[in-house]
Amino acid sequence: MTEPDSAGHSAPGMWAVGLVRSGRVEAPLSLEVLYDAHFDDVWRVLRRLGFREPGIDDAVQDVFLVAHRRLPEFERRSSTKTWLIGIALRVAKDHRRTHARKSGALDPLPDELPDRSSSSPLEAAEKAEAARFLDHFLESLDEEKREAFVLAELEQLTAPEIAELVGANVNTVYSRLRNARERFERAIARRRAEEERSR
Amino acid sequence: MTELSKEARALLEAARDQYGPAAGDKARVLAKIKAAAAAPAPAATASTAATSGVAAKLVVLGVAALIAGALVLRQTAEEPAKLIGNEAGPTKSTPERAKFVASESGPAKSAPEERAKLDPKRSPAKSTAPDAAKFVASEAGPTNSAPDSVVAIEAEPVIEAAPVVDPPNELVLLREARIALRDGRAEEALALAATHERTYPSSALTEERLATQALAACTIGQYEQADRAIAALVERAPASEHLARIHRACKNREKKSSQ
Repeated sequence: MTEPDSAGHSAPGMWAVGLVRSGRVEAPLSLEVLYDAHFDDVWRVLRRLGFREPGIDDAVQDVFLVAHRRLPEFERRSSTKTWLIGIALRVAKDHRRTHARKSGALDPLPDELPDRSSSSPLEAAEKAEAARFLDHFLESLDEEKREAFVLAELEQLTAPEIAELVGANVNTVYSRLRNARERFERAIARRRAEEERSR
Repeated sequence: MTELSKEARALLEAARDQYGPAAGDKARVLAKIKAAAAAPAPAATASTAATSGVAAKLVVLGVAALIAGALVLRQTAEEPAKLIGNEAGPTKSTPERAKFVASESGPAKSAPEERAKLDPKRSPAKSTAPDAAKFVASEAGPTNSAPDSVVAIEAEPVIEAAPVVDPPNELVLLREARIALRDGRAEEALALAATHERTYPSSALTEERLATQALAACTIGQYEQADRAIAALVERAPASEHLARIHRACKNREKKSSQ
């Protein structure tokens, strides 16, 4: 990556194309910096929006490629993460429409094995079960409610932020969120009832 | 506004970590991004923007993107690391990504369609990348042309490369096994692989199954079982590209467990 000059600006290059304010100092914002800081965020959002292997790789890739192009236009009215989530939402819509989450190939084998030492097998199983339940629930929502639920409950965005990202009225977002939450509570109640019946 | 109950919040919290990327995802996707970002935006991109009926302003942006794209050169997917701060080194085209990026200056929603239209690799008859073909042959088996997959390299159809498999159940089993392995559910991965072994004892995808079994067994410290799978894999496919990966992953795991 290019070094910033005396004014704190980077020479234009592939990986250094913008500036971000960090306190009072303008630090160079590059695709590398963005990627390093927000890869996990983008991955999670896309995963929660329904992407699976192998398509999620491509969706993540597209998000950062778009971000790379739009860095100079980024006005920092929102946080970098929120900005990337906005791009991720649009990329997700595009992918859904054109690819409909089809997949044919096997996922590549992992280069490294998941480290499971940090949690007990029971804890890991519970988390995996919770994730499966949540996946199933999210799949049951329509796209708009799913976005609202994911962004509010998992990404901790506010309703006005969500409204801006999805291009909807704040009250509409509140309505979608309320509906999604009610459905979630009902799904949990059903799950609890099933568990009790099976005991 | 309706707030979530404690139980619902606890469930969300428990599921939260499960959505993260696995080790290796970050580096893998970065390599793809670098390769794509380095690919030039061909002339077709400008015409794409122009013919898609977007406003003149967007066309101008598309042209600007084309110029910017022309400043960088191509890069192979196999050698992406060279691209940091390096704008040279053309070896292999990844035009579909460049087109996508350039077309993003037009209406965002049209980008994937345009990319798909312009991607010559989507046609089975035009598969000309032997490395990619090898990848697909080993990873997916012959019946998975995955015509709609976003990744061009995975969409390379290599129908002639391998013997007959029984789709989709066999692939579904192995795919689920790998997802389980990636998500840390190694026991589930082993169970799925065992089902595959029982159901398809002479499958063309045995190499893939054995590799999955070896890695899953290593994950849970079942090194004897891993050894058996590795031995079978060596016997069946002594030059398997999975062996190095298995060796590396299992060795790391063994080190961790002995510490």
